[in-house]
Amino acid sequence: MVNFSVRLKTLIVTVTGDIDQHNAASLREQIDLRISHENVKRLVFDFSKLDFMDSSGIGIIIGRYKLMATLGGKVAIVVTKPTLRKLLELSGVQRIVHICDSLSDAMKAA
Amino acid sequence: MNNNIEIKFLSKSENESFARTVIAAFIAPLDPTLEEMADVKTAVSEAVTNSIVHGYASASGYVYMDCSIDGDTVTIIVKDNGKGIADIKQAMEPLFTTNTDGERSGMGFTVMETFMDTVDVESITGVGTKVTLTKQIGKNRL
Repeated sequence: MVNFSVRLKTLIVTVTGDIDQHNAASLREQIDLRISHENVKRLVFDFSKLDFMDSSGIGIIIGRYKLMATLGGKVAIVVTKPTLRKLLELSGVQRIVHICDSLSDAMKAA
Repeated sequence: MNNNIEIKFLSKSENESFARTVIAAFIAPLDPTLEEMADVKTAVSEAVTNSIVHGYASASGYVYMDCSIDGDTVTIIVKDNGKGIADIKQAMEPLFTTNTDGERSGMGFTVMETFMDTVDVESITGVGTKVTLTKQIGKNRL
């Protein structure tokens, strides 16, 4: 399940439930559609209510980073669960996106 | 504690969450921490996804999961009769992926190796792949 909101030219993508290969394509399409419709400069993934993510989510993050980079924008991620943070750091995405503990930090970082 | 279950399911992506639910229920009696539980679920999700996306690709077949508990160690064997892996060493390199148009990250085996204690891969081209994952639960407990 995904919810969108726009605040200060930032698209906030809040994902609940699971991110795996089964729902990755649909999630990707929904996010890309929103990015193309909204005139946003930044993207924040709010994963604080996410139950589960595997490496399919890493592909989504890297793909959206590339998309936002072409628009001159930045990406930040809100993460509260240790395993999710471990997965993100293992992939090295912290070199290209900001990993934050809270939405307010992510809004400042992105 | 000793226990064993065997399940098989079709190589449909909706069965990835089924496999995670099964392993979570199976290891629950070992009283894993939330992090240990998430580690095992993530590793299983990666192994099952590999069988579905790479093993069977567009074809359909069964994925087999054999889960055992021996004392405080869980062993999970994920097996398919798919196309197999031609070069296991290359497949296990971080960021390597044969799927270039689907935004696969190529992190599957790296995730399994990081989140589990051991990962063993056997594969024969045209016959299938068998991934064996083990993890001791509660080793950081006082």
